[in-house]
Amino acid sequence: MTNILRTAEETTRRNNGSKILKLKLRVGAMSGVVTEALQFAFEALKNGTMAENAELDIEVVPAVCFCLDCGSKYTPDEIDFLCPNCGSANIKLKNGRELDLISIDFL
Amino acid sequence: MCKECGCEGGGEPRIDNTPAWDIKSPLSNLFNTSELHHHEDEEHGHLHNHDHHDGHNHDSHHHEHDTEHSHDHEADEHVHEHKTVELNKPILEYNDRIAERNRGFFIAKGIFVINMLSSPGSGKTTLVYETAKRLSGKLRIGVIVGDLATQNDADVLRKASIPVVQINTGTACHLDADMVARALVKLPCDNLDLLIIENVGNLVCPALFDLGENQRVVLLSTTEGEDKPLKYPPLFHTTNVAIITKTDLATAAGFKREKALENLKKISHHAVIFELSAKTGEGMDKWCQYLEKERAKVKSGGY
Repeated sequence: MTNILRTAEETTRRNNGSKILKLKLRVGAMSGVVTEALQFAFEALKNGTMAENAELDIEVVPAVCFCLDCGSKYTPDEIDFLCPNCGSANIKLKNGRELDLISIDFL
Repeated sequence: MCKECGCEGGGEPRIDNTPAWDIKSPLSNLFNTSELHHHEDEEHGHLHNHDHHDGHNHDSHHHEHDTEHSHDHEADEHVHEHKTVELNKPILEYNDRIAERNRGFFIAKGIFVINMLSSPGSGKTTLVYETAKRLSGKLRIGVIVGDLATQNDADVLRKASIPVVQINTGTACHLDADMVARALVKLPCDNLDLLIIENVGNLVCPALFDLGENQRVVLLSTTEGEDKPLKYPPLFHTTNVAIITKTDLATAAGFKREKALENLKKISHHAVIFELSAKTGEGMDKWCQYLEKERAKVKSGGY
């Protein structure tokens, strides 16, 4: 979160802004990041920064698996990644590992 | 808990009690793209134009400057407007870049590198120690070990007569690629076949940080319960090897082996699974042979 805030401040400053209004993040369901923890850290760290009054907008991307054996595309059950169609374990996680800073709104 | 992965905290990592080098903030490089500079120029023009709706005209506004100062906008900077900058950048891009650099270095040196992860107390240090003893004379091993504090693990591991660098992360709950890069300087990398990076005991945050390793190895001890893979899917899903440790305690702990294997298959289906006890030596040969085999692959360009 410190990284995100620093990046946001640097980008804002470089664009002659002084007040951050909104930070948009994209967080995959399998990224290992808990959005509540991110939100908590943001609230705790934003004081005294340009983002003091900013809002954190987190877009959650669900996990999507692709079965290399039968071609099924599916959102895995939280605790079972096997292909629901053919039972194969030969699968690839297509989406869900994202952890991106999408955009910064500022004045 | 740490500041990188969403939890509060801080503190500079320390490597072998030596203060970390004072390096430039990663962020100063991260988003320093030409597009942004371009944007900045455009914005200048925009702000300038907008500043005249209040009745000022360009000439009167700038009357105190030289007339050729048509490009001086500093006086206009107080005028702000809502602006959005699209970045669409991975937050951990900096770490991933350093990790790739590490990986290239390892390939060039012919070192097979594993990133060993588990909860605290699953037996990482004991496994590394016993592995080093068994592979002595076969593979030249180096270890980087991460803990929030103390040199305890390094002290234990040095008894196996191998080079060990301890990283104290302060309050960070994981190792990152940069810490590893800095620790590498202290290892005799020209004389290593296998580098074991013993990560901070944690099943959550280290999953996010690529260190440049060839393989991830996750430990699951029989005393922890067989549902760990289900509880921590991001880490177990990305692992190449899963090791069930402390098999000598399985009966006492009421460990359900079949269930554990079934759970591992659900989340870590592609992982190679080992079952061993570093204490009694059960299953250790198979594990050590695996390491030798994988190291041979690196040497022959298989990674």
